[in-house]
Amino acid sequence: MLKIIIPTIMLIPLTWMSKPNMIWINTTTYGLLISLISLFYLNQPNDNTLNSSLMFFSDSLSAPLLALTTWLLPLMLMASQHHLSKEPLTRKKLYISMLILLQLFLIMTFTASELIFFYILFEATLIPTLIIITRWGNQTERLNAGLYFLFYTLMGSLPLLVALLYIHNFMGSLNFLMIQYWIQPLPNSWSNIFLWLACMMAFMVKMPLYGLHLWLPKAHVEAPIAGSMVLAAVLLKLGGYGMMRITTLLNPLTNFMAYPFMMLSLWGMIMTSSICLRQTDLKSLIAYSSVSHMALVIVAVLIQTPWSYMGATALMIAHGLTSSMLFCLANSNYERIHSRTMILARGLQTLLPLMAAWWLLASLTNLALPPTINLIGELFVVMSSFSWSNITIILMGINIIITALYSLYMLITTQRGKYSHHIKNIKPSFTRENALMTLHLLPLLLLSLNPKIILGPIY
Amino acid sequence: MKPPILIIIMATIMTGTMIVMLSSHWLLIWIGFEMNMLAIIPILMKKYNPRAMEASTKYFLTQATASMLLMMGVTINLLYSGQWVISKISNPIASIMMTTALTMKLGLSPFHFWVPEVTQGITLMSGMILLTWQKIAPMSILYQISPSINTNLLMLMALTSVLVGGWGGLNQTQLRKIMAYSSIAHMGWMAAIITYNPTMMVLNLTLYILMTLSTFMLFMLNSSTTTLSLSHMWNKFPLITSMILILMLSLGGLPPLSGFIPKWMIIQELTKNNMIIIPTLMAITALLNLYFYLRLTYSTALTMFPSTNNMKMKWQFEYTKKATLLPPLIITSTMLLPLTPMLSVLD
Amino acid sequence: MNVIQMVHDHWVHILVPMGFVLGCYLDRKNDEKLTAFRNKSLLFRRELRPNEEVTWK
Repeated sequence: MLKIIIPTIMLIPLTWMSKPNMIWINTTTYGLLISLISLFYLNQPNDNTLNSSLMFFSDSLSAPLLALTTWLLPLMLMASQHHLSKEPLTRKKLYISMLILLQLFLIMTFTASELIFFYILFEATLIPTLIIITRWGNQTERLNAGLYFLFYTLMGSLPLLVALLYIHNFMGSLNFLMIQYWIQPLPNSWSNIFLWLACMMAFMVKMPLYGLHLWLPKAHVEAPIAGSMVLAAVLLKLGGYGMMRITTLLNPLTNFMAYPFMMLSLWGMIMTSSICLRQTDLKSLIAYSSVSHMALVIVAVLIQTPWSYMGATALMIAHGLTSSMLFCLANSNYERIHSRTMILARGLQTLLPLMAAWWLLASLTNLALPPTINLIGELFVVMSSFSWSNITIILMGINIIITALYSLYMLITTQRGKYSHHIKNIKPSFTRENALMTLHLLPLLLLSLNPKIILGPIY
Repeated sequence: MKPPILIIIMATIMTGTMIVMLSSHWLLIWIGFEMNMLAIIPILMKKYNPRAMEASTKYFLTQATASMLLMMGVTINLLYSGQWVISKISNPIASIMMTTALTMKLGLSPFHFWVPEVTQGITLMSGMILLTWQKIAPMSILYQISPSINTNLLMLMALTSVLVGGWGGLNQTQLRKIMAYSSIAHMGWMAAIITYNPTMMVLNLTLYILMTLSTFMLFMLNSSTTTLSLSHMWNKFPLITSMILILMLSLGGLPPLSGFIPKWMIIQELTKNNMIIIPTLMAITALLNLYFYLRLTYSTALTMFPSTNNMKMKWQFEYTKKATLLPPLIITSTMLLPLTPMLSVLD
Repeated sequence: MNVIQMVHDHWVHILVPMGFVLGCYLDRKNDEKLTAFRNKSLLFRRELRPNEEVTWK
């Protein structure tokens, strides 16, 4: 794993030593090269894990997320060039260093083989994200958003620390590879219920579960583009990844404890998609659609069948790329119109036809149309929840319809209609932006040729 | 203050603490405390004004009361055991009295009211000495009598200190008061672990002293005592603002920084002793502290306070204040977490 | 002169590849360490067949 981590560390001196006009190009190029290295880990020859060292390992659950993380760094760099064009050089370099630092922490989080190590890095990702949101966000509300982001997450995860140390005391080790053999079944008692809650709430807040999600739209809306991208694409997946890792410790209590959270997710995903239907703020709409998609992942992880796990992993990767792409599109609008209000961006199709094509494709992937992996993920989740309880098909069906509705609403409001006068003299779309959209869309389409590699360890 | 006098006073402060730490005789310990307390008074009043006078009077009164309580505890102990040696205290009343006296000297929760008042009244330099060096002597005695301390009493004090230290600082804009409340909260964490694993307390004290020293040194570099003057720092020392950011998060105990080590170790030690609810409560109330540290980072590093154009040039001036100690202090007080596996030698 | 100028301009490009090489080297060392451990352990120790380097492939 060091062959990814050390080059990522070296990206920081690269940023600071590069010549002023080369900082973006150099970091983006080497970021892409590093993401190529991470593709090797997608090949998992034996059934369990690739144990790279005593501290790091990867299996077919963490490898796709690792690849997604490394893939996203160059995309974030490409997306934020315009946003930073007016900043002085040192601040640009600092911003890039923050993104690289975040990337480094995320890589180590996904490959950590010890739960405490995982916890420390899970928390460590908060600091660069907080700095990115509150230092480079646009509006004053970003300060509030940063507070919400930090304190929601910490409030959820401090009980996790206590729970992990408690488990460590009677298990003697928290190594992922070992605990699966030493695990004792957790009987149903009050103290174990609290243990379950302490272990799961951290990830439920991070996912986020409906009811604990209020930090997410704020953080998404106020963050600069790279912050929104990495939040939607990777940081939310930390929650899903953590839940899938830690539920091995919590059986069979999960079967009993899952009910309230399942209800909350099933209900919440309809609620949040309905909220999307009446949003006027583009970024907020995408953020709420993330909450609704993540609710599907929570349902899938809590059902705990092989199919639902496969669906959850696939959906996480698919949603990571899709929502990141939607945020990029929203940002390209924002950079031209200087407002997140959708109605002010109406009629853009006539002015930026190619961008309209990207909008169409992004909306289609968001509502899970066939040749994308979003479909595979959602289909698996819907089917496994149907076999868990037949009634869920009603809620799932309604959610899918509402998802289609708000995707259509977003597409029509921003692209169709008569354009208003203030957008007559906007800049045309850059090659950089088109390349950015292509790089988001390509993995989505290519992965549907061989979805096996993102279906997780159970496949 | 003339240099020879300053040297004599500082030497007395050091000697007082040394005598407390090194002696095994209660009378000598008491003498050490008194020497230390009498010598610190001129330091507190270095800049002579009514506020400093009030602060040093308050400090003198509380410390004198605490010393008398300590002496009374020692006397009761002498009455029952017939010896002056600092060792197991068999009499519970004596032990409770000594603990109360020492916590009063430290500024733990029911006796914490003097800490912010005194710190606010004195200069930054004296505040630094007050919040770091002055904690060593009482802590070393608590370390030595740790087997005979009443756990419930100290745990209650620890919990309320963490809470009060967080709560009190919430509305503050004065940096010295904020540091005082942060000191109360950290003392709470130390008090929580003393009866279970005193070595962890030493670890926590060391890291606390390192972090507080570097924070105060940064404040002194800019001679800032309010959040407002701290927020003007970005056009004087752009790099230092980011140092303040990372130091504040370390003080708050966010994971990849040094400040997380003591929190982690203390929670681990408490869970080993079958405590679940108390460490959870402490960890969550420590978030209150993090909130006001975060406000400081907001005003220094994460936003840029509006300033006039001629102020923007301040960073170009040659700066005469030397800060040689600052880089190693900041590095040790933020980046020690990877060294945590070395702590296994303590077991 | 030209070479020196080029090295001065483009030396930053060596940083990331150097990191990769270093990482690969450290990973390889670590693999060897774990392999040696496995080859010596009581549970997995066996005679290596010809053309076989490690017990775990």
